Amino acid sequence: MAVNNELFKGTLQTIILNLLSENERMYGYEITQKVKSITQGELLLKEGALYPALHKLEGDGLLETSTEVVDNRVRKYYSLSKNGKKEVVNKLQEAKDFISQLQLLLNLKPSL
Amino acid sequence: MNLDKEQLHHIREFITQKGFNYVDVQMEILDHVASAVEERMNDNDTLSFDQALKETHQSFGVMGFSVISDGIINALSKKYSRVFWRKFATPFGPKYIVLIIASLFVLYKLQTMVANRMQFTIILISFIIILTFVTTVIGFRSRKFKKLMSYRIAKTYIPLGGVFLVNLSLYFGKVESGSIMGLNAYYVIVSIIFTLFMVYVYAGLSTAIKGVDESRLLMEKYNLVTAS
Repeated sequence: MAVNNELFKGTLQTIILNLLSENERMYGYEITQKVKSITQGELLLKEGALYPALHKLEGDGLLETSTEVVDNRVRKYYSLSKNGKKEVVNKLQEAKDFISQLQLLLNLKPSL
Repeated sequence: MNLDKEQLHHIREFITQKGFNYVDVQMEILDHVASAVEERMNDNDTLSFDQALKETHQSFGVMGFSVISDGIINALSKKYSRVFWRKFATPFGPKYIVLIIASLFVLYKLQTMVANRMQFTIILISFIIILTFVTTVIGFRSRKFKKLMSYRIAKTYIPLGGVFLVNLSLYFGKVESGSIMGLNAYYVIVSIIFTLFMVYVYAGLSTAIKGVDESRLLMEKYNLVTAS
């Protein structure tokens, strides 16, 4: 069953930061494919959601970019900046806290 | 399979037709579209290049490629704004504050030393003309980068320096006034505005030069991939 994409929009920046902390540097299309592969196609990260989030993180100074010529075209790679490396820890903690609160609210916590 | 140069050229033309002309904006759209087209064609042997391109464009939704273009403009604006304000703040830090104080002192002293107010005005105007000339030369020499969004955004700060000149002109030629801590108020105001103007020009030029440097690197790569 496919997951409702609306549910993960709020954590999109955290997902991107976390992917970049694990992969050092990635390009836009690669991020969409990585999300698809990790979630086995359950979550599809559309261009309309990815790029505004990616560029917002870049504009906020959390991501750095570099370009490289690959397969006869110029590819833009994103990586975590110094501030981005600090922020990923905070964002992940925020997400974990939110998930545990959500589990309480929706009675999803596994019974002991 | 990887797309060949002709197919990449076709995608570039397609992006241009959709109204996205800036080289740096085109480059990011092109790489995403080309990667997606390649994957679609690899997944389905019978899919034609044109059909794969059409499907890829449709996957961007109603906003089309503007989701990338708007994001790039937004990110570049924020990036160069950060560069500009960091440069603007630098002279007020502990390392250079002596220069700012010296500038205020020299400008104030100059006004008291020049007997004729008009002479001081001429000195200031000459200085402004020199700065205008320098910025014009930089603009002319880097005109080849005008097709890059990063260059266009990086140089937007320089013309805004005119705001200081408008304020400065309000106090030109005025001698009689009240005093600030025993100092001539107009002389103090002119010294402050002109010092801020010089810091502004420094920050604006530094930001533009950074934009030119980054645009040059990008343009070299662009020329490499578009060379036949």
